[in-house]
Amino acid sequence: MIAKRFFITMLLLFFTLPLVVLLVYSLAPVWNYPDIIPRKFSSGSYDYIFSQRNGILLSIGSSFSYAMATVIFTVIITILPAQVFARKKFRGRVLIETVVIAPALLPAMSYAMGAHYIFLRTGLSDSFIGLVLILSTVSYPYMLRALTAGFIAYGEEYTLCSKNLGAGFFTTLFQVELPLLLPSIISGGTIVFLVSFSEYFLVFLIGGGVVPSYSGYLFPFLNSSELSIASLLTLIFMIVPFLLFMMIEMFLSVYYKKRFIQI
Amino acid sequence: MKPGYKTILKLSPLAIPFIFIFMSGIVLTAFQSFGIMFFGYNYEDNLFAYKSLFTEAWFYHSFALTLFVAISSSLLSVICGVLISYNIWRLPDSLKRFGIVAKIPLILPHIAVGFIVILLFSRSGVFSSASTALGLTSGIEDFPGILYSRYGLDIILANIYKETPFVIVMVYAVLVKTDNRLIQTASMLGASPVRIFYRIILPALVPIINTAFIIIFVYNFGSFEIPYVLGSSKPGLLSMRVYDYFFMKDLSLRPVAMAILMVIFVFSMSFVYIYSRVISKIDIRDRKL
Repeated sequence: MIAKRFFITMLLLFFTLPLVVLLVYSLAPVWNYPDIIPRKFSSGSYDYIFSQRNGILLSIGSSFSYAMATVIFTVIITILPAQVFARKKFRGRVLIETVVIAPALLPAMSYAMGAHYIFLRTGLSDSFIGLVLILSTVSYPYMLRALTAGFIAYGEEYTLCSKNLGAGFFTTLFQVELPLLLPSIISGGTIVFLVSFSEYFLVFLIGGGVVPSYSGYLFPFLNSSELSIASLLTLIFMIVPFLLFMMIEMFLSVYYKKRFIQI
Repeated sequence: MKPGYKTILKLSPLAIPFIFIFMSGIVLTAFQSFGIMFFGYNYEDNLFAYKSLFTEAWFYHSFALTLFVAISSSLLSVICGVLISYNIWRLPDSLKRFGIVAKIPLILPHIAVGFIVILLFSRSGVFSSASTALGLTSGIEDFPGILYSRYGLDIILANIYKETPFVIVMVYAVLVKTDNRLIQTASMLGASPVRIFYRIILPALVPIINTAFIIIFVYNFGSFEIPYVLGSSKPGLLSMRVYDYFFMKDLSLRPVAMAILMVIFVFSMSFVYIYSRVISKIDIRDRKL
């Protein structure tokens, strides 16, 4: 039991210490060596952030929009391929399934910088659409894997039943398959959202500073001497996905309750 | 069976990211590394970028450092991840909920993790203050220079913090499916926890460990954000030199950046291919025994 207590303590320390340090730094404008506890606390960085709220909210809103757009776009482009990978047997399936996850596995920098030239030539660089395209390329394999697993999990019978009852392709897709796939969409979407929301380099390369982003807003502070403001901004960075996941949890519990009662 | 036209039609949306961006992107990177299709520039020697790379000492240093950082961060992340998830899994159900804290770094962006390492490990940082208070070091100079070190220690620390949770999530999913009766039987027959770990748990985890290692290693090998925040000293990682040649130097030198990217890409792809071939061979041999 002592060993277990020790393990839990170490676990909590290891993973929450950074957050505690960020919180203390956000409250202490001057925290110098060798003080273990800052000599002076102040709400200076909070005041500063509040005065800059318009710019911060704009960049968070923009990051949230392109991350969400990426989630939706990856669902659109992977749902039919996922169904094929889960249901159809054909020559070369395993090979195709393996090869198409390459963009998530191999270093994004290596193809994004080449793609940057294509985007420049086609006018997609420095644009919202271009940014969503490059973020989708990096993250669609996660959605594809999640949806393939989802299609495998519930079997083909539901789709067949729906078709037997005379539902067309789109009715089946929207009324039967998408609701059944909701858990997979959420688990895949969580990863796609996090990857897109926290990405810095690709946003900087393809967005070119024209598309506002929170990572781009935060970055200059990280390399400055304003440790207190940087710490607070970093904490805010975590709050957005955290709130989003809480909302999804709540939505799901309500959604399933409703459906359960209907049945 | 050959795929029908309907199957191909249903697969076609993947062409947007896979062919139009990923494949064309890498082909463009390759062309530009040879100085072709490059803003109308004409290079007399199409191999000049590669020649200038392979004759420079910094390139070999940078490559070795990148390899060292990638291998050590991936190995340590996998080891930490396996040990932590095994210990969370062994906790009684009432205490398992504490395991959730291990997911915190998953929602922290890479640039934030780099910043946290600066706060904690710089010579005037939190750990330095703590070690002075404990009497371990007597001043700022006494504290080991983890930041800006020649061996990329700061980058390794940041990588481990960011990637251990990833390993924990992957390994835990396998542990949950492990048959508890195996472990009960072993412990009834007198096997110690350590022995159980080595003889039952670890063999069951080998496939997922290999997968996690491949993913993390390749990521670390080409990663940009953490080393960029930490601002390593020269020659630094390969990705830092790419940035240098792409943004900081004369436009006519950009093919050098593209050539470094090709080295990163080809190396990563060969690593994935060779590693997965080797493990599948070992797998077949084990089954024969």
